[in-house]
Amino acid sequence: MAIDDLKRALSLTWFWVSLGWQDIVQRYRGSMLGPFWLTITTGVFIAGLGPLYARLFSLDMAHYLPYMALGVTTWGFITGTINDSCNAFVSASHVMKQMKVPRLAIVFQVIWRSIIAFIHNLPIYVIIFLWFQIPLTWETLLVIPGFVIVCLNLVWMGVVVAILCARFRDIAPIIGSILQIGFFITPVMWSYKLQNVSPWIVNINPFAALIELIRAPLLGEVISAPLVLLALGCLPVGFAVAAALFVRARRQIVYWV
Amino acid sequence: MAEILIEDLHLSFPVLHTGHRSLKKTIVSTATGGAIQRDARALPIVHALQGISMHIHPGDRIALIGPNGSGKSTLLRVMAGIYEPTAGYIRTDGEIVPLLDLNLGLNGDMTGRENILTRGMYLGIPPKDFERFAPEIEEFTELGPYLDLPVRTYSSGMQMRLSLGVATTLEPDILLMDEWVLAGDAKFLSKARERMSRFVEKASILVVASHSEEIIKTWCNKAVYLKAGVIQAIGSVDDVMREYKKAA
Repeated sequence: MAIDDLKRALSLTWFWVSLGWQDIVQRYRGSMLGPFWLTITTGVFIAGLGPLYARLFSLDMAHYLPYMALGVTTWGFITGTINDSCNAFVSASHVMKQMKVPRLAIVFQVIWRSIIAFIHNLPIYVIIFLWFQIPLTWETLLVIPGFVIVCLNLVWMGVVVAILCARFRDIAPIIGSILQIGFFITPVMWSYKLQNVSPWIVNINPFAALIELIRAPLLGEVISAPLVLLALGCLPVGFAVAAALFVRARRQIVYWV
Repeated sequence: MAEILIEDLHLSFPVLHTGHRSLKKTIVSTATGGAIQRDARALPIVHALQGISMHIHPGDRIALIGPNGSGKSTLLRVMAGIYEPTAGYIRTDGEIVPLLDLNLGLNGDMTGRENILTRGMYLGIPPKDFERFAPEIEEFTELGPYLDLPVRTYSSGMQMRLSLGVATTLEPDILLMDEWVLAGDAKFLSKARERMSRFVEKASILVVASHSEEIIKTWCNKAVYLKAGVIQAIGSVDDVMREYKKAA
């Protein structure tokens, strides 16, 4: 039955893709800037904090600002997806009780919506790349498999937190606080290469691995092997946990929300 | 061929309230063996349906009757595939449209037209196919230029027309309804009633949960009397109604 849910969720791709779009369109409602307010808020954040932190850390702007910009946006994507997934089932409770909707389609919709929001950062990337004249090479294309690995990791994370948060309502704030601490212990704003931090604290942090998968290729750096292994290693383990949880909980979710 | 077959179906579900939704309380209660947080331990279980068996054939128009909380809506949800049975067997053939809540997917900030599209998606109509249905729905709603205004500016009557227009646009084999969709005749314009009748008549199977004798006698040819999740009587409308009135 759980596999059936997955099959139906995949065959209903148009359903969660369109609804995800609609969620985004709705966020623009009433905003004069339309789609660009997402881009502009991030842009202002980076333009404001980038130079400041470059000074605080005594780092070269041309290196630091692109590094930090990619870090902050990727981190925002990852944590935004996880936080949204917490409410995936809870906010879809009305639909689940009136219609037969595959549970996974609901999680996919949340993740897809985050991906669309993430793509809004592209103009920022373009500006930074032109401004600092970061060369684009064939290696830059490694960002594509990197992004896919990140998204796959987000799928299992999303399923796990969506189920847990549907059952226990106090988990969502806990996850929120964990992610907030995660922001400081993950090399989002700081760099273990430019600063004096022992690499092991980074190499055991899956979030660091996910960020680097997207950031390193774009900056023309080589991502360290332990981080790639960590990100790939999370996939089988994470999907096993998610699958076990989903098989156990799937039938019950509708009663929990 | 449309068909619903249910054999010895049981459905029970847990009822979570505040304490049960808390991880902290659950952990504390496990650790202390329930001595301290007794309330957080035992989940109340509702046995909503017990030993339901029925076989619904094409042409059957079934009324589910029974007092409040007797399991009518739950049974509709099981037929719709929203709840899965705890035990027993259910098989459905044919395209099912459940109309349990007309307001599903109505978003006040979106325009009427956008809402029609969303509602359609919930009913299983992909946006690309929707153009086939849209003009007919828009015409029925008679909302004209209002379709481009946010739904929150609509009167309840206008919202009703919009919801009803979309809900009745498909031609399902099996139609599952909660009674209020058919009820409140005074509110419905004659046009809406006509559309509703056409819609209901086209369906091969109709199952409607109802209290209203008038609705049952107009629409149904069979009835099932449910009480506390158990079938008390099943058969022709008159027989079952007599049984129901005797018990009440």
